[in-house]
Amino acid sequence: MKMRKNIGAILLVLLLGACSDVLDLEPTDKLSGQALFSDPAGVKLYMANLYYQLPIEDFTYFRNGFRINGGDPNNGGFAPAMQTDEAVHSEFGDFIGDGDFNWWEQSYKLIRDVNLLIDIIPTLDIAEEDRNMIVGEAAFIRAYTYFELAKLYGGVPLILSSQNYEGEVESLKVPRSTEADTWNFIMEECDVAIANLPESWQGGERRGTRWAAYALKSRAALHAASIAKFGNKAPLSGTAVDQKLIGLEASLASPYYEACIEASEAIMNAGVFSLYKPDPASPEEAAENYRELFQDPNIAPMEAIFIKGFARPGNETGHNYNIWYQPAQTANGWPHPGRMNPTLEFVDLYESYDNPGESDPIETTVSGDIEDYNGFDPAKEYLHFSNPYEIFAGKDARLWGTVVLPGTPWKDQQIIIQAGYVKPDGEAVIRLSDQITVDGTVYYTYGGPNPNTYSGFDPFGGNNTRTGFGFKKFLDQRTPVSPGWNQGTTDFMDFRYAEILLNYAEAVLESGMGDATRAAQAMNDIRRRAGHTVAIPLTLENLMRERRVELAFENKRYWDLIRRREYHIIFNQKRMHALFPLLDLRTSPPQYIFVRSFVPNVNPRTFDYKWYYRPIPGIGANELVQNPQY
Amino acid sequence: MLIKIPLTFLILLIFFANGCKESEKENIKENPEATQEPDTVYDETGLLYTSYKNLVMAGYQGWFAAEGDDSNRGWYHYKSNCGFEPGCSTIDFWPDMTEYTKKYITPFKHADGSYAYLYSPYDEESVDLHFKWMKNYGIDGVFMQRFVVEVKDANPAGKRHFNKVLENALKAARKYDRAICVMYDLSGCSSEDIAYVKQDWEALQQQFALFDNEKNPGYVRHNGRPLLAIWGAGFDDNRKYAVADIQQLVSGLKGINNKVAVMLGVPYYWRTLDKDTENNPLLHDLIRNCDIVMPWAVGRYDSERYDIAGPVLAGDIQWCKNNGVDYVPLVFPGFSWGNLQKDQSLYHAIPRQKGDFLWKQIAGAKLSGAEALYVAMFDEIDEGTAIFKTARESEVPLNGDGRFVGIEDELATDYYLWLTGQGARWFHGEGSFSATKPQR
Amino acid sequence: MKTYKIVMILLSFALYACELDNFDMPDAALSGRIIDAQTGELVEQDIIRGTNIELTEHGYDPVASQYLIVKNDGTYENSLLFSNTYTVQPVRGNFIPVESQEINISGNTVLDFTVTPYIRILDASVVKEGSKVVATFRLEQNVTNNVRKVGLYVHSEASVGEPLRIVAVENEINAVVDPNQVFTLEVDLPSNSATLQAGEQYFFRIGALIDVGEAKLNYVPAVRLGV
Repeated sequence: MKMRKNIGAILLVLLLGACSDVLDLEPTDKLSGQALFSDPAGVKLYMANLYYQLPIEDFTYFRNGFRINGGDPNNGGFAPAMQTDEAVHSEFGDFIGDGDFNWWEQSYKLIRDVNLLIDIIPTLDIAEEDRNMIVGEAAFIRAYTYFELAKLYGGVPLILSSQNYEGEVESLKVPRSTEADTWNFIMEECDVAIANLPESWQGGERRGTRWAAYALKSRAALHAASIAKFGNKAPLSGTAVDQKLIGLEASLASPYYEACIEASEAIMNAGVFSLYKPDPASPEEAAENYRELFQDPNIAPMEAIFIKGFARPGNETGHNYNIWYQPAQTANGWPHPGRMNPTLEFVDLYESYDNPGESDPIETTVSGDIEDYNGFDPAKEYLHFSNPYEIFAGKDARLWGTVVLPGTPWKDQQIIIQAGYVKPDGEAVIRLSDQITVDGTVYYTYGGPNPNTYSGFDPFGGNNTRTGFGFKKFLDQRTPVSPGWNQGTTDFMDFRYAEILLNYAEAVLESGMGDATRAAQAMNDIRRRAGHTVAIPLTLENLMRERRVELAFENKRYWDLIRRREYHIIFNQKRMHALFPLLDLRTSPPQYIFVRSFVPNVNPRTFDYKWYYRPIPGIGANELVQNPQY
Repeated sequence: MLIKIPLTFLILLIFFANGCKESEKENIKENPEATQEPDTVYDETGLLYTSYKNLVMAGYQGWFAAEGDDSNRGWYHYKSNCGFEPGCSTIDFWPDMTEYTKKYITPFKHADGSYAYLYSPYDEESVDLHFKWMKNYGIDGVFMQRFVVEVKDANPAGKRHFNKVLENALKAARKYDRAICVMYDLSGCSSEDIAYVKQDWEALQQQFALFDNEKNPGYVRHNGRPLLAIWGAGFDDNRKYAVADIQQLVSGLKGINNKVAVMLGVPYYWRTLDKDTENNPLLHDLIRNCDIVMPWAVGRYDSERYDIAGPVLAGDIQWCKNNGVDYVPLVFPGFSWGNLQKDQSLYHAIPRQKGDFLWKQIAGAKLSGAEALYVAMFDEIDEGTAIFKTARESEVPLNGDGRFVGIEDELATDYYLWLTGQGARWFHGEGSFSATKPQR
Repeated sequence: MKTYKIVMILLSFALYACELDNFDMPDAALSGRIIDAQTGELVEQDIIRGTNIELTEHGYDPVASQYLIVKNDGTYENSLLFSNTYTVQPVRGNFIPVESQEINISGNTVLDFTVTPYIRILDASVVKEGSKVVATFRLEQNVTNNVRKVGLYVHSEASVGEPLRIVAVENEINAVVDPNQVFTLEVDLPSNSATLQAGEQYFFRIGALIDVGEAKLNYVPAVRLGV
């Protein structure tokens, strides 16, 4: 079973008490605040509530917000990955809308709660050491929250102490700061957190540590630097731009990259962290190591810098990755599995071991043409395979650890993903339910006689993949899924060492500062852990491929596309791609062929420039300057 | 474009047709019989520059003073509010002092321990050197900046300073056949200060015989009249004067006989009346009443964002053609004001890129159809836009916790003078130039 | 009679519901054209993600601006406005930006914009040659910026353009173009057989994009061809 040694009292308090009434009461005056905070247990209680509100992009984070794990959180399982090129939803084809990715009021509620704590810290009758830790923790939470706001909205009002309503609303209205000032504030708050937080907590409690604060700074500084460097790839106009509420001067790129390098180096030099199982004996071992790392990150304290725990099943404590994304065959009675469908462009990204440093797109024909998405063509000479996963042989171990490939085992079943067949007479039947008897054997288009015997391409219920790929990363292979809401208890690594190495390498590469040799080493260490044995040069193409592959589905891709201003370039009438495995009955015995296709029933996707910043809600009342074009 | 009397007629017609009460009243008051009065006719015999067209001129600050010069203003405009010593100064670039005959020892030292020196434009020799450079590198001349708040009667030291620098400059312009023109900078003015400009301008004409063809053959004329530049109309930055104040000033300066040609310095987005520009259509009426419009482009783009300039230039030039006003775009070599703002991230805020940035703008203006250029600036080292000879990165003195910036080490200290001169040749119609920066 | 009753019920409900916010209905319309100052022709646009006309109604502070879409042919109209004074300005267009203007909108107000397009596409031709559709054209650019790309866009709808196409053939240019250069773009029909079905009619439209922030493509009118 899951190892639990890292979970201390704080988390239990957090998770058990998260929705009890006591935590919804805010201290209304100094006296009750004093009473609460002068007791260490009171501090923990209050702190647990703050951590609970922290906008961590974990398994409960979806396009409609954070902590989507209360009651009946039926949002279709529409994860942010489905609005990137990593995946499509099995059923819904919609792209980003103005209503997605908003977290304004909830952020300011958390900021108010932190500010109440910050205001009272100087008056607390506690040891200096404890006071410093609270100062550090409050700064960490505030930096984290403003980071989320800055990512979403650009420059935001910086509320630095709790506001009191004294019958006059106008004084409570704080205008937006510039985006530059907002990022600078985040950097400063990170520094306060770094200076005051301990390196670890007694009993291994999952609270902000000095290392988590460095990691936050590494991620935030890289984000800001990227906006400064690439912002002009997607220019916007309007009042918010004129007042510098959004956008950063190009000259700010260097100092932010430098901040990223320094923060990342602090972690790299600490001697505390390393990659989990850095030197596998074979790609097979590497694939299994990688899968296990996400099935339970508690096995990898050397890699995990900050873990969000999901300690027990239940409302607001468990999550739904296991039920939403399980292949249909292992849904264990749950009616809505199979939602996360990794795309062909994502699978194409991976290297093969025999050609390091190059993505190796899936070739399906003798001619090797990979640009033809026009469907099955009887005149084409397709490559034939005796089993449906042979075509992926030699691909990067992480593909096998991230994606359920057609015909591969999962939870002691063989996961059948088949789009159709080609009859002996050459007629192809694709994405239709059909069967045929050839030489006394019955063959089914979807590879099985009824829906619980396959996991692909049957459009019924949205339970089957329509890209040809199922989802594996983070899912727990050891136990059958509990077919109910909020039953998932896999823990989530918010910051891990591999990300820090990749942040470092990117900052070095983009800025020309720092140690290029060490940066290349960082990238190649991660590749070595994935079973590669040949080091490749640190180029932008190599590094970005590595980042996409290593951090796949960790909710990084959306922000990478945003901060590097690549969203509108990649998503310009973008049609998503799938791989259709077909059983070719023209050969005997039948063999598998594959057809590169458009994902069925998904409209072309185009990213609007304005979506680089989200709309601020309630400008009629708060009188803030709105972001452009909303 | 240079039709004289009918143009005035047209402008006034437009003006009246516009029906703005304030302007109407004003015009009636100032110009009751404007349509009957003939324009003042000047004898242009012996004049060197009868139009701004085809010229490349720079702005000349001339506001520095050195401890020990005759201005008695100390290290004026070199010093910061904390004084003038290492770590404390407003300038980013350091002048290349090699050729100055009169120089002043400063509290700053080079890395080798030797003292660094500066010049004062209060000294005739130094201004003479600057005009000599203009001639040697083929730059047509300069606009002498005159800050209204510095030359008011209430500021005798300032007035004495700027008059002396102007005297030095007029003398040097004569000596080196350079173009020269007075430019009033209205920054910091109140409405009352603006009215003072007319008084000062008339005093200057008397004192320096500005329009005397023999004494000042280089004083720039345009549309048949002496040119006067007024900078600072329409900026949306809470100025204490209004467009209407400038309208009144221009009417007064021109008088009933259209005595002067006026170049108006306006914000970059003057045409679309947004961003840096007050949303006030009166600004367009004012511009139509002037002879030349010159938009302020410093800080509006850097090399990467220069793409915004293409439509602005094309749109501005079209507007000016439609409205019978001449157009002079501004170019600048780069921007740096780390010491002025006490913020080290602002060193090289807009990088020079070895002249690529300046040439991109020169070519952009020329290829868009511009006929003359304003270069900001000749000697501006507080904001680091100077084109005159400044020390290279490896040659600048030490500056305590901060630093000074220099031009690129691979370049000669006169590179930006040379490159501006190449731009001038292009605008003169000499040589063969393109969007590709000329090789020295 | 039954229907009538239902209507009555709905009406009374509606009246009741609106008692507190019984404001006027929109009573004014604004329409007009975007015209090329030199040729007098309409400036072709994109109906989605194209040029917008920004309207800011006076008398409300703060007020969110409204954005009217411009149709592909370069005309626009909106009849759901309230009579009032507005500040009007076309934004994010495919022409050199023009100043905002204050206008009084009431009844059917007409407001044309005379503009200079970033690029004019000249001598445009789109024809089917064998198994290809071939477009040829020249470009005249009115600003010194680079031309970013040229494209031939295909869709079954007449409102085809860069944002609305099922097939696109594009060339990255990233240079100032010679006005005499003839550009050629070809759509190969067999290699797009999944999207362009033989025997069907499609609209083909040539576009060119200037390298100016937020600029939209310039176009010529779409041509309908059978493939």
